[in-house]
Amino acid sequence: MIFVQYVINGLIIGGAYALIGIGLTMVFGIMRVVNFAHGEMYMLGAYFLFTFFTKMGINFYLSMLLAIAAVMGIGGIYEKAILKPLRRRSIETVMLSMIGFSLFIQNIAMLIWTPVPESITSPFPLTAYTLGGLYFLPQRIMVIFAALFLVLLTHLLLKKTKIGKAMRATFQDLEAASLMGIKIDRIYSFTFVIGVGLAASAGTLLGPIFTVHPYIGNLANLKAFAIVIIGGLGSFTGAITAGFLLGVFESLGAGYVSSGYQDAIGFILLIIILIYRPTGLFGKIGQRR
Amino acid sequence: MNRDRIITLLFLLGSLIYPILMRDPYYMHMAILIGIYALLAISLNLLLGYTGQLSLGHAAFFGVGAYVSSLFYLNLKIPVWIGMVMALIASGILGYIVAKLSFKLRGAYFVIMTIGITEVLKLVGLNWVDLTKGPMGLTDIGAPTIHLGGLGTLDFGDKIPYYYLILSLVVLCFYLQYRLVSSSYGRAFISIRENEDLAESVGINCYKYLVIVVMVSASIAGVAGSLYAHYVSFIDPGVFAFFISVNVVMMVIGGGQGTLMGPIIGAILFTLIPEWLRVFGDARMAVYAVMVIVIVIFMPRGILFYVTQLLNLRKKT
Repeated sequence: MIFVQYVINGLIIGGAYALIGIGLTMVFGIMRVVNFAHGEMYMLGAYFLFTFFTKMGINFYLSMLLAIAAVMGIGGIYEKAILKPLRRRSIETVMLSMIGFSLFIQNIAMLIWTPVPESITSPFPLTAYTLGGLYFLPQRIMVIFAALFLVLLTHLLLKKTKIGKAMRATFQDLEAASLMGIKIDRIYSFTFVIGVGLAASAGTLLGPIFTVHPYIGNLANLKAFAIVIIGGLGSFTGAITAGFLLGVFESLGAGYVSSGYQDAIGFILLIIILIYRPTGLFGKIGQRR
Repeated sequence: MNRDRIITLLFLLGSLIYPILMRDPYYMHMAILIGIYALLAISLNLLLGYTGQLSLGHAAFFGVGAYVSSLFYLNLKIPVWIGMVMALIASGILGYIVAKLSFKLRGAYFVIMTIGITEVLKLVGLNWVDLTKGPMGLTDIGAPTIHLGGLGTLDFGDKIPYYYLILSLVVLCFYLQYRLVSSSYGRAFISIRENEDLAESVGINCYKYLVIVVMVSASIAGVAGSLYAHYVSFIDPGVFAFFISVNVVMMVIGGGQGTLMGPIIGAILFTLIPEWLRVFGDARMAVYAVMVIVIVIFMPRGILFYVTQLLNLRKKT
């Protein structure tokens, strides 16, 4: 029974991981940019929720939306100010400017919120529902439903809307897409904003479960990279699958092995994937870059 | 003799008489740190500057070198020199594994692998308390000594002998870098940086050369870590800090990647800059981050390039 409980807990956290993963994989797949500040966007999402909800007492769901919107705004400004002018520059320049940006955000967060870990108060009752010997905390039920809702929303955005179609076209062939009259700059900005928004939403979902401090972005980054590589760089389905897989493996690892190494599990999975299937679970075989 | 050689020799001469001019312990301390970082920067320059592969995990090799060498010294009481060789071997093996795994694919994989391995090693350092003492860190790491027969022992615990030890290793690595990049290996490295597909088509086994260069680079970084541990005599999982990796990349880029002197200049600049930024208090790292962005965007060829360009301009007018 405890095994099933671990798996369920893992799936719940995995839902938020899937969100982080699809955000990163979208930005990579469409823009060819590795967003090293992705974890910092997750961190900001959690901190904004802390400020709006715990400090200012705004309604929880409204606070979540405000937090996500704020991070999307910051991401949008960064995209316009730094990434757009760097579009023709080498991949190293873009990567390092992202690293600089992530260091900047991390240290600004430290100045604003101090390095002392904060916890976001949960608006949900702390008594768990029991079902056949399994426990479900209301907070966590909300997390998994919100995560599934957002994944579905992103899926619909990509498949059913005009801009989603344009994004997929850009993903498949940048030049052909731009020849067909798709405004690449707009697609890039939109993709980046949606990508960081997904990271922020994961931050608002996991923030009330874990504590929040300026360095949580580092591990979130590491996990996001692991998810994206395990799933296959640029693969939407891969990121979702790998997100849930990572959540379950972490939960089982913490339960049966050691909780100290819980955060290393993503990396261990990543190494196994690189040995046996370097392009990831859903990556195209033969793809090199 | 051309201008570059004269400048290099003047630099060496200046470093040799530096301890005579600067008696202050703080300046000696900074000089020793610059030397250790210069080793790290040279090692990264081989990788980033000559083969174009960005590593954001040089702290991993540095930290492994520091831990391996310290643990050998503390637990087995073997001479420091052997521990340093062990550090070199251990980091080299780690580099081999990382390279073997990540160069099956190109682009971002190597960068992500190097960041990941650093974070994981930090977790190991924090959690394997029996071996590493966790966040408490390892203390009382001794400095190396040499027995001179009847003349007594030369103890490197003092700053001045340690300075000369580091200096000699920097000179050695500088020479190694020079020989390596002017050999057929160096030409293969540069061809990989310039155009990998073309290099492959003329029969260069890129995968093999990349694995070799990562191993060499990692080994040198491991020695730097070992030297650091035996100098400060205390290490904790902070040796795996992401900041070290970033700062070393900034040394190579800021100084001038793919040049012989670049990493030395960069090591001087980026050991001192974080110190100078202390005037900003808590905002220090935020200012540093802005500097990183400005440098990678506006000065990607390094300060050396822009200075020589200025000098050349003046000559023409």
